[in-house]
Amino acid sequence: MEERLLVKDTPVDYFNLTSDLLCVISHTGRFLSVNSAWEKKLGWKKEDLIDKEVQDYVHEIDVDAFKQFLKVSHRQGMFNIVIRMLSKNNNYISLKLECEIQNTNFLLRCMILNHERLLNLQGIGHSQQLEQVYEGILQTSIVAITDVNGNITFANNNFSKISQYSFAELFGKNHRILKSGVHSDSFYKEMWNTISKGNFWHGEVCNRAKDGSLYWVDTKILPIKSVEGAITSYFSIRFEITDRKRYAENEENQRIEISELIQQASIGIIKINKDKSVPLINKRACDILSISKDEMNHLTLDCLFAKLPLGYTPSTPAIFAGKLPSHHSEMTISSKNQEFYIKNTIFPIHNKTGEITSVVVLMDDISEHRKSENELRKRDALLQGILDHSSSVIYIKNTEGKYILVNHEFEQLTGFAKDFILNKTDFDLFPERYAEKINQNDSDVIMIGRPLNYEDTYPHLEGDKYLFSSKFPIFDNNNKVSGVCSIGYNFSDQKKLYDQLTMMNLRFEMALEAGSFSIWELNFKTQKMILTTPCYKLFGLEQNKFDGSFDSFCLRIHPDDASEFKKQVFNYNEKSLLIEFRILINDDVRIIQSYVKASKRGDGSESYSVGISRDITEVRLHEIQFVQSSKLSTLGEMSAGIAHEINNPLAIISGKVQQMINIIEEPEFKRDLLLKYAQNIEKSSHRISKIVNGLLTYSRDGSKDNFVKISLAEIVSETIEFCQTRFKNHSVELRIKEISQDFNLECRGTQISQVILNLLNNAHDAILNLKEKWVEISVIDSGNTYEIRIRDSGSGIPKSVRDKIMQPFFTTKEVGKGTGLGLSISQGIVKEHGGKLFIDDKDDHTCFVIELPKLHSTQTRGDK
Amino acid sequence: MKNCKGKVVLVVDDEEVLREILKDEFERLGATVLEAKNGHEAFEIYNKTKVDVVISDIRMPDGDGIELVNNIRGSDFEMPVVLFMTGFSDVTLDGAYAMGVNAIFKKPFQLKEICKTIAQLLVPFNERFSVKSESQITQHHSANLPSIRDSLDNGNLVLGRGGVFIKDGVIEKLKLGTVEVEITFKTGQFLVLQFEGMIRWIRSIDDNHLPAGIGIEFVFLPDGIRQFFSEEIKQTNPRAYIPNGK
Repeated sequence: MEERLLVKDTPVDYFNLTSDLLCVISHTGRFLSVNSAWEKKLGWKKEDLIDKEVQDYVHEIDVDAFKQFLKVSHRQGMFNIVIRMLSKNNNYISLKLECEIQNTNFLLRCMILNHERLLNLQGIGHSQQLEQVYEGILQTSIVAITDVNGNITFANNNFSKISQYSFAELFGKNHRILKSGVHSDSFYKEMWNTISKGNFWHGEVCNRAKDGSLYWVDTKILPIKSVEGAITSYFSIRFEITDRKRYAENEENQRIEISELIQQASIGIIKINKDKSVPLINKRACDILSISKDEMNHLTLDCLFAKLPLGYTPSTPAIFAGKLPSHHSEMTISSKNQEFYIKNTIFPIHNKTGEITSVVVLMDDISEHRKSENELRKRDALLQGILDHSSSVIYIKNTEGKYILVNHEFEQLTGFAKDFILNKTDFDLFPERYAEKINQNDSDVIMIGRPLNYEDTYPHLEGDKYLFSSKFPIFDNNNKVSGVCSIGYNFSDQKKLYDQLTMMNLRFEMALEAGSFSIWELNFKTQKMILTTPCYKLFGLEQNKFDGSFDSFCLRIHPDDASEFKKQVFNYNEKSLLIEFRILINDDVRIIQSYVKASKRGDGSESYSVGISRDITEVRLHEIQFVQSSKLSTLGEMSAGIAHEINNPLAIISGKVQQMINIIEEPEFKRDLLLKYAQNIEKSSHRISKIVNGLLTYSRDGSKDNFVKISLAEIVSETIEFCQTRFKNHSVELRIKEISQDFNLECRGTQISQVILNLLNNAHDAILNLKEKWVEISVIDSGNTYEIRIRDSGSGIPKSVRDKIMQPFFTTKEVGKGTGLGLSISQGIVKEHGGKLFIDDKDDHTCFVIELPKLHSTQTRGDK
Repeated sequence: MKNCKGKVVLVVDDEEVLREILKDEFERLGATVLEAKNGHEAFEIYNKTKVDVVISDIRMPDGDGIELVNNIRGSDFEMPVVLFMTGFSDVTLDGAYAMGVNAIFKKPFQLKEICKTIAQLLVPFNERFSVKSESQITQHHSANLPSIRDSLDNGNLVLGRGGVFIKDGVIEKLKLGTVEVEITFKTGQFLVLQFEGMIRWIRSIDDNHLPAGIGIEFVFLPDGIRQFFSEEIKQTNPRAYIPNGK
């Protein structure tokens, strides 16, 4: 049908013979028929295209334009458009379409525009190679052709891509639509002048794309002339150079910026060329070197050197000579009233061949830095001084546990030098068990982030050292913990002392416990007492009930002894006293002996006394028993004599009686003889009576007797009666000076007799081995007192012995011969009588004196 | 008592009245009495004058009785010495007999006893123990020994100038006082030793290196034995009156 239609309207031979591309398209846009030119020009066979959508073969950019073309053509008829159509070998070929409406179909005449025309226009013969070159240019470049007025007649795909306009939009439009406004009118004028004269123009042009963005293209415009030489069109080839353009622009901007930076830089910058010219010097450098603006403009190296301080050797020549690499130097420049500390950084600049072409000097003004550095250094020195003279052990560690600061005390403590310690950890310095502990403590502070107190232990040759350390974290500018500082107080000595003290105290307490020492301490001011455990026990006090006051303590003391006890205890004279007193525990009387010493505490502010007490009740009881038993032993020693002494008068009595019987039996009464015998008997009886009395006197305990007045002569004679046999037996002469019958002594007769007997016996024993053996007893009336003097043929008592002689158990007699109790007991008895027993050291011989008050009442009144 | 007649008695005592009593008594018996108030004085008299018997107190200043006995026995084992002793003496009873004291008296004493004893002591050994005592003997002591020779040699019997020490034997029941002794020997010169004596001391257990036993003063010795002992004493010349062991 289409064939028929075609035949009817168009001559078939023209349809098939013409070189133009002819086709019939349905109103739906499908190929209805194509002529053979399609196959020749585009390679499409009839069967390839028939019934296919035409727009499928149109370049996508041109599709809309094509559709518009068909629409418009349908309404108005006769219209043309340039589109690109796909060829069989996948190229787009630009076609100029002319449309005729036939019924509802379109008859399209498509004229190939591009190369065919182009080649024709340039008069270049059609050749396969040229076609390929042209294809290549179209593929790679932005290509456009305008008419002489600048209206676009052709634009390739690349042109559409960069300008964002489709060919349909561009076709017939003046190239001015792409004008960017970047270039001046003269720019375009110059271009048109060039090309309108038929000359080739090359330049960089900025165009505006459809969306308004700018793009740069390297543009070459070639005027195309007719054979007659008239310009028919302009052929242009462009390459996009937007990126390069932008880069170059940045480059330029940067160059300006750098230059500005250099000028405005706070460091001085000078560039020196090898030819001694100074191509660059910035403002700061001029300031530093006091270079004026005039000088700056024609500055030379020599001029520059002249500005340098005396004594500063410029290194520039050496650098140029390649003898010195980049380096730093410092110099001080005094200018006007200012002094600069300059740190120079000097480095060479090489060209591509490695030759040194110039030297750059950077001058950094470090005056402020130097000042603050000096300040800092001073402060550091000050701080180190303070640290080193501190008696505390101080160190700072960083968060890695490395020492970054230590003071002298720390060196002393550890025995390491500072330089050795720094940057080391505890584990580098100390045995693990110490390091672990110290490090842990420091780590805790770093972790917790606040001050903590610890007891640190450090190893030391002289034994472990102990530190009481206050550790606190150190914060950096960001308020983050950057380390730990430890300020430690070395209390090793105190600890050692404390340990020793504790040990001593323990030993002391053990000793006290073991020895059952009863110790009390009385503070004079507070009147408070401290008692040891045995002391509580001794005084019958309960530890939890006793209020510690001296008054409560004194309640324990026998009422008769309490006042004396208080007097003694408070008698402050730093002399030790031995006091004896009774205490009452549940009606049980105990005798306590206290060794008391009053003293002042270290600073003298407080007085106190300390007493060590013991219960001597048993001792006293033993002593009493001992006195009795010693009396008995003396009694045993003397009983032979006593028996003898009694037996003699008995034998006399017995003998005389037997004789009297004989006389009576005799016839002669011898009255005188009987009388004499009877008198003998009477006398002998008295002798026996005396001895027996003496024996009683000696053996009984007279300590509870009442004081009564007794004749001294009687006491002495009774005593002598009792011991004279002993004297007689050992050929010791007993000299008795006559004692007045008027000498009456108020005393316990038995006790005084015992004392005299004891002294007589002692005298007897002392002189037994001497050649001259005598003991003398005499009594002197010395007013209120009687002195009973017992002298012997000995030559006195050595002073060393004299002091001890009254002490219990002191004896000069050989073992077994004496108990050593005699004199001390005698002393006690005499004291009880208010008298004195002493050695008269003025006498050439040994002379013991018993001085006794005549009346017991007088001494008691006077003493109490 | 008659024996005292014409004899010289030395009385030693520091008690003048006592000396006087003894002097009166011995002079009454016809003896001459010399007095000394202590041991030293007595020994001087003893050395200068012929003395037949010494009576001394034990305790005296300037030379006691023990010292005097030792001095006399230094040269004379036969001189009779009588000593006054009390229980509380420096010398024990057996010790006193062993050192040669012939008789010991306590004060007060019976004058007649002293005189009788001294009269006895003045008789020579042979004649002295020839009369049996008239008083009743209440205790008996018997023993069995190998022979008298062996017994004397090994100390089962120790002979003194007026008595004998008999070792061991059954002595528990014995008391001080008169005793009849009968010793049976298995062999030897005598098969039986029978005599009357006075037990002066008893040592029931060994003491101070001295064996237990009894000290017996002879009262009556049969003729044969008396003869034998007399010979024996002449040969051994013991110092002890009654030995206290060997």
